[in-house]
Amino acid sequence: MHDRELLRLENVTKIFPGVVAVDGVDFDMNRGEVHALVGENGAGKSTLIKILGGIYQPDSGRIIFEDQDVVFYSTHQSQESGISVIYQEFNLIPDLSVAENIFIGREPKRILNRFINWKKINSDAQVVLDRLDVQIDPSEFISELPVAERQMVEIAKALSIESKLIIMDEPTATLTEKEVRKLFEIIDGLRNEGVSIIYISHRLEEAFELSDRITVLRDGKKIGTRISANTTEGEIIEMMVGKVVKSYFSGERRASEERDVIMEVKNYSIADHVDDVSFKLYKGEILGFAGILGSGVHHLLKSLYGAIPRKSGEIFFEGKPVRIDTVRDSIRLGFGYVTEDRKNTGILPDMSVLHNVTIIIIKMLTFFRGLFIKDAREKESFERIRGRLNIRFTEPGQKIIYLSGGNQQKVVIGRTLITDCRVLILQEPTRGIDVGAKAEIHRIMRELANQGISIIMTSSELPELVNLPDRCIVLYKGHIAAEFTKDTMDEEKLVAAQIGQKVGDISGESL
Amino acid sequence: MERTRGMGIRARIARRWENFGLPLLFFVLLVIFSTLSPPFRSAYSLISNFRFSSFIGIGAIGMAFCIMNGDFDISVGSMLSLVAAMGSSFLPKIGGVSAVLFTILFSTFLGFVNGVFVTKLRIPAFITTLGMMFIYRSLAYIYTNNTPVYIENPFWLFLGNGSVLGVPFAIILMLICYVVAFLLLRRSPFGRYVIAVGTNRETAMLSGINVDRTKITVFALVGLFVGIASVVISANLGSANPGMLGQGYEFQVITAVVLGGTALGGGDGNLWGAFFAAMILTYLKNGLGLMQVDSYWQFVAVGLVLIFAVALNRLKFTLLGQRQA
Amino acid sequence: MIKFLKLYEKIGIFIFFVLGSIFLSIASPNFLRGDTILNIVAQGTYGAVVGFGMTLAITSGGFDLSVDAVMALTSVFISILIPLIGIPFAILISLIVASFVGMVNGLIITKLRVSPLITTLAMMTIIRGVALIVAGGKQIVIQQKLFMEVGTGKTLGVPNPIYIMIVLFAVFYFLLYHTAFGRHVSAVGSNESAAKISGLKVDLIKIFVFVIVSFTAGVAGTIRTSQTLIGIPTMSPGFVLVAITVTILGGTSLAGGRGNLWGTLFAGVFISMIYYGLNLIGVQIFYQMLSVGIVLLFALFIDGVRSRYLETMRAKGIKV
Repeated sequence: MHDRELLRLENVTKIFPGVVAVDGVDFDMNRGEVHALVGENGAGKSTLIKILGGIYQPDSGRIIFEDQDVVFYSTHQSQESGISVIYQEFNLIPDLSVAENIFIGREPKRILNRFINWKKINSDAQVVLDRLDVQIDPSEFISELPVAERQMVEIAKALSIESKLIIMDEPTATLTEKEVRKLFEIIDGLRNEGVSIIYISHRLEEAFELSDRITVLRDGKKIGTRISANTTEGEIIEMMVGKVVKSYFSGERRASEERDVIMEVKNYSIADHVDDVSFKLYKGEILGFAGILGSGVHHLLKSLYGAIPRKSGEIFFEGKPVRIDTVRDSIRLGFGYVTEDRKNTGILPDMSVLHNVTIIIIKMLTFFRGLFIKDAREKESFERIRGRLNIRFTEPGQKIIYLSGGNQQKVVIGRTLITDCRVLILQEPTRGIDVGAKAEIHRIMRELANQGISIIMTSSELPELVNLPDRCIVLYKGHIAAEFTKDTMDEEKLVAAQIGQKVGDISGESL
Repeated sequence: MERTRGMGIRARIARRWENFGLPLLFFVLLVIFSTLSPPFRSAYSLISNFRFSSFIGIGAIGMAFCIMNGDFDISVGSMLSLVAAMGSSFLPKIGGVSAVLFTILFSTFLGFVNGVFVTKLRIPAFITTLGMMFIYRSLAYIYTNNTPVYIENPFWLFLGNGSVLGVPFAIILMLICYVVAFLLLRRSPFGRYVIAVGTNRETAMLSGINVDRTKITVFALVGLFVGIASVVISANLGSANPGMLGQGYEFQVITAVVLGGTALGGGDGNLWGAFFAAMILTYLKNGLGLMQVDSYWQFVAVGLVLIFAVALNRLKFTLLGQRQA
Repeated sequence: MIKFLKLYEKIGIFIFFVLGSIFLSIASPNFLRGDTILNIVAQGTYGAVVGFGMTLAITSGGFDLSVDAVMALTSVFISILIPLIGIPFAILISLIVASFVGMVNGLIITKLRVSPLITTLAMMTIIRGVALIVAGGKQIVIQQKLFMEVGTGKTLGVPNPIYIMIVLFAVFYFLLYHTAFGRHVSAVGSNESAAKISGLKVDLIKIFVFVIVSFTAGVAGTIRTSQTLIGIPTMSPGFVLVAITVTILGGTSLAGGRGNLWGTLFAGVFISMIYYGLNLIGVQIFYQMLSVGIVLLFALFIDGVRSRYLETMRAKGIKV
């Protein structure tokens, strides 16, 4: 291992409207080092790598790369300097071949520099692929390759431009065990060649196996850097989790089993995402679902609502078997749904606050069965919801995009409540909302549960998962990994279960 | 803070324009053309120009719904020609009222067919309607054997040329259509669904809206208003010419909607804006014509207006911080 | 079944082509004669030529509705210029004018960020207007009979337009599949944001594409004009439908990134075969337009059913 420093970030800060994404972070990398970057969602990891990748520029602080102060104003500039970022979504062109993707923009040419030299581009690609010791045909189209091989192509791309630093964002989220092994071999090989790698992952056992050092981020700040050999998973988890703030309204919680079962899900499977999941939902409880990227949680809940198709499985509602194939089916049964992506699939951007709330039942607030809207009744229904949730706005006709995040969220929740739903599915209910509004929404959720509505929620914020639900089910790679009740709830076990650890033992043994 | 200040002023101007810009433009044009060309000044010509604007104005209603819903229908010109030709050809046999009714129902049906193709084939609307555009046009040729149908039926002619108490009936018709459309858009659940689907299709779906059914209804509406417009224009011209009628209509109607302030990307729109825009466009065309400008310049002018209108729209949306088309 | 459906994109048109040929040879004894075949292919050249351009445009993720207007504009310019500067220069200048229109399209789309639909739709009207203005609203007769050679002359027994088509096909083929530019065009259509991040000059590429499309429209316009020796400002309204149908029928995906030039070539000839068949039945010209429209919808229908089926299979967990 070389000891020459390759990269140093000093006090780097990046602020977006309403949130400090990266807060005075110090970070350094040596040549030939594999450095793991871990932290919960929203800790600031992706913003940091986007700064290094040239997509964002820091608001303050210094970036020193190879002993020079730099700021990257474009992806191109960052690449030219020798940094390659492999994003989760990959930046490959599906309809071009492997070789073309690797050398895109720099294709070797012949005949007056006009035509692509296929022989050379393929053999050059082969050279890089051989370095990685992978069996991929350079002339194959990316669209034909499985995900694992596409990742190899991205790495090959980085190597071909002689990158000194490769940043990998959640590289193993969609890989099988065998493919993960292969990736590790390659990373080892790269390290030996003097290439530095920043490795971002939720899976701590991987971080420990691969990396020389681990840095933990939380809420945009760097909590600490440890040498992997000298620390334990327990210490890292503690740093990720920090002191769990117990300022969230928890209230009275009955043991779930005393209540009636309102819904039962049996053997539910979704192609490629969820495998044979079964669980019960009790009346008036808050059931939390937790899982990292690739766990299948989002797909499961979306599918229960009828928005995506399932492969197999049964749903029983109040004891009777039901079919939920479309959203309207589930709404009819009394389901409500709030997405995790408020901006894109939660609000109706061009419409007013009033319309956003009432759209779901507007047909019933009319004369002549669906023809003319009864203004008074609409306003009345809206008022009830507004009061119940304490939504703040200037006037009902205001366009929803002008509301604060917290109030927008309340509007979306209000839309579901106005249907008198019995089961409410909330994905990331307080994402992007300030602390005060968060507490309010938690209070509302608890009130709703006490009134008999069953709530299924997901969250990637640990404090929320620990305090709010009566029960919590953890999914890992499509299966149920663990279940916690309010008695057995424990932050560190919760995190451990999400990353695939056998709960009950977190000193280093994995699934 | 300085930057937001400056933006504030420009944004405020953008807001004012949104509300008053078009009527203002309309009056400006009125003044310009009246001064430049004597024939324009008389009250009679003013009113007769009003009458012609109902052709674009009524069709623009349906197109406005379509664009608010997030789609385009470029088959409207050919649809117009086909239904006018067929409908008017039945005049001798079934009489005025029935023929008009048939025309409108038939074009609504064609719109419905468009809607079914767009939703069930899952192909971008413009390509589907591109294909339909040529199918309708060629059906019009085939049906009439490429000969214009001359219209003499008094009822039909009245709808386009007649007056009630000095007001051209075409104008009354247009106003009625706009009022109905306004009620449909603002006072009925359907109107909400149209905008919801246009503003964000997935969110609308998650809110339980039947996206397909909304779309099909929108396309049927396009057909409905095209049918009404076809009666008016063929009455104005006294004939239904399968080749010439409706050429470039889709283009004029889209221009009216866009100029009226409706965003191309879908979402809330401006019906009354389309109304004024239709009048502005008609005045532009007729005004140029009366000023002895080559009629071909009209094509160029309207085309430039469209591009200008879209670019202007984008500017407005950026300034007001709203969604981009 | 799944395998077939995936292959369909590449070979679908050939199946139609073969079926069509078989059908026509049964229906008409004349079909299998040399000059009939040559004639049919010659008739298909304009569709194919503009189709090449349209294929490039759709591969890049856009499309161009103004092609028939550009054809008309070219026609008018040629008829005016030939008496002034002679045939070869007239053709050259007219093609430059056509390409210029394409550049304007490209600039509006990339710099003003207006959608290709609206831009080319507006341009279509504007260019038609310009053509009418330049031609003074009239059709212009070309006196120089020599010009006819381009569109109707034969070299070695084969009609000239076929040579033009073959040359253009070769150029496009090499351009799309063997030059960096062509590959980048596919890249832009396949994944524009990735292309941008990879450093490709997306805007410049798009502008070039539109220049090329209009150029092909100019070529088609030249061929047509030479066949009638009249500059027609209202030439071929609706030709854009043929160009798009030919492209889609040929297997080029609307999603972009996968241009099928062979498919376009064969589809162009196939459409001509349809016209021939219609002629046999003795129907009017308007049926041609109708049939192309129906063919387009049919091609789209098959495409829609195909992707629905594959999607359902995917949801069931079957490898697709």
